[in-house]
Amino acid sequence: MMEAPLLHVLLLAAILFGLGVAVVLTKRHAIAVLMGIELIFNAANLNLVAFSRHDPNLIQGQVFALFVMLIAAVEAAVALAIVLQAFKWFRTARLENINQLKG
Amino acid sequence: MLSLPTLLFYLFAALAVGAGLWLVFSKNLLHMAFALLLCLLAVAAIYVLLFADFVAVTQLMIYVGGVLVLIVFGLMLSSSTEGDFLLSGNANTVWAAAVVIGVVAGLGGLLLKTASAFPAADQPSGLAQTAATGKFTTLYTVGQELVLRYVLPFEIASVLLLVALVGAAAITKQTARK
Repeated sequence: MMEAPLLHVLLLAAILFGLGVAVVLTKRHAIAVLMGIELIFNAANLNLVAFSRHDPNLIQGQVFALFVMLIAAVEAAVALAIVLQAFKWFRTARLENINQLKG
Repeated sequence: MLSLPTLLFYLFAALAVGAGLWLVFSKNLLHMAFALLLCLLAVAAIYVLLFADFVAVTQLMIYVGGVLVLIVFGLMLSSSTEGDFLLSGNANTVWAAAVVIGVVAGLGGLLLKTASAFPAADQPSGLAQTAATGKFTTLYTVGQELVLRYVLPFEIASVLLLVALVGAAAITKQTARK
């Protein structure tokens, strides 16, 4: 049985990473930036799972991908809490309007 | 000659990239959330094709079921009264595009240059050989690895999850400016 070559999976992960970076760099809404970060996490996970396919006895890549998912969930929870607090404070979630540390 | 799993891989890869492009070029935040959902579902399907069944199910449960719902919830709670709250304009498009094209071209060039070091495409990978022997799931191996070799990171991760959730609750509890 022929499978998708490792190179193509890694190229797909690189493209998804690039799209995530594009979202993080261009979007003006804080939650849109969070979506870009989730896309970057997914690209990293795709690399780990792709390499894990060639490690049949100890699928370390898959175990590590599970840890990455947990970190992503933690990051989303804390970042959304911060965004909501900033929204309460500044009455906006647009990043160019949140421009001072002193509340 | 492409086999069915390889064909499906390219199909879902195209779907993931298309949803990612939609995510980049959409201005409506709800459309962005839907594009992210589509992208995460396509990646979960690719996990199945890469013999990572448990990771695929976890992707569906944590990302699609948890993180995305959290994001949509945050979207609703942070909507302002201006009326255009669900739109997100783009900023810095020129140099962001330059950075992204540079990063992707650099990564792609590096991958293509080192492609000869990767396992050959025409011979099945280790997990494919295991899967060809009959009944196959990675759940047993993942569970064993988590409680034997990675037990300390596993416990630290659970403590991290608890601390993060308590911290998130504590952050949102503070009072607003008068």
